[in-house]
Amino acid sequence: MTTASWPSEWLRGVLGACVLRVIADGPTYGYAISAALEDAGIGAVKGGTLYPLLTRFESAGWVQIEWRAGDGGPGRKYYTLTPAGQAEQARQAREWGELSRVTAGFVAPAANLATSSDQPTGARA
Amino acid sequence: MKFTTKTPHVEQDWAADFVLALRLRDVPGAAIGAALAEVDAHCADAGEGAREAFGDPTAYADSLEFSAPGEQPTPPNSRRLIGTSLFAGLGMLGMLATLWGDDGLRHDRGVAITVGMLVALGVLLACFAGTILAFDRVVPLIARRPFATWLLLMGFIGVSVLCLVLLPTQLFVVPALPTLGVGLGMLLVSSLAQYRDARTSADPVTGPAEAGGIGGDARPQSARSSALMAALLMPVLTLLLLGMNRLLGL
Repeated sequence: MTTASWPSEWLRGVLGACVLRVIADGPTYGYAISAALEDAGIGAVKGGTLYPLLTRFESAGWVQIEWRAGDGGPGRKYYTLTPAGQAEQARQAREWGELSRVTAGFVAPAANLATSSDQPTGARA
Repeated sequence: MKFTTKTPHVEQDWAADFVLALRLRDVPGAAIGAALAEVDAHCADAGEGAREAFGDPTAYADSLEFSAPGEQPTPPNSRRLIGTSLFAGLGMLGMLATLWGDDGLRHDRGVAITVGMLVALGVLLACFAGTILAFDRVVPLIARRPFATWLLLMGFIGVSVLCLVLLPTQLFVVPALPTLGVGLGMLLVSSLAQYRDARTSADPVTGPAEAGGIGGDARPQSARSSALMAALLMPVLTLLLLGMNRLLGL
């Protein structure tokens, strides 16, 4: 997938859910997480953004860490979801799915909304 | 701040500023080493420098959370540092009293207390009080601006000398031997307190063992040697000045 360059305020909101999703696949480390996000088209996430987020996950008890010796390179800090982290990942994935469905419907081109233009605005939300 | 890093993929000045910022937050040395080792691993994988990947070292350090067991900052470190400063001040007063007492003994006279001495002492106490009241703002300034700190120190010494020279009016005379005794006593108490403080507060930056110690200080100063240096500073300075006075025949 091509690398997108989404507005940074959008990325800030969704980054936590995306990083939890990457860690849900199994023990992984910082650079691998950032590479996975880039491969998925979410964009290049700088270390200065990613690692503070990981320390917040650690504080919240969502990840546990383990240092492993590097294979010919420096040692790496691996992150694994805890049961609390798995529950949080499921919750965030569910809520983001719901938000993106509602938002996609809401911001759709005007032509798609024409059929419901006679409804009051509040009814759409 | 001198920090010999074991992080080959991180710019040395970036690592030094990062360590300083975390030290000022009272983050334990092992947690600092682990954070630095993670930066090094990321830079090695990404083929980027730390400044490019992580931005400003101080802002990055401030954005990290440390809450795992053994990583938590250790307040009330400020209170300990205030104690250290007070004992350093006691050492300085001890040095002056020793020099004055020695001078009186050698010239067979008492120690004349002048207006200038009391004003200089007042300036010294005011500086200490100001430092203690604004401690959290003063310590980062001292650490980050060593040249400005040195200039301020020189300015303080200049003001003290001016006080002594311009205000020579004698107020009273105290006997030389008790002054020397009190000065030596203050030096001894200050040195013992500084030694004990430096021994108990030593917390070297150490990287995770699994990462081969990457992130740790490559040339850590032993707790014992840094404690000895802290304890011996004022006594050695006093001895030097005593020797110099004798050499110059003052």
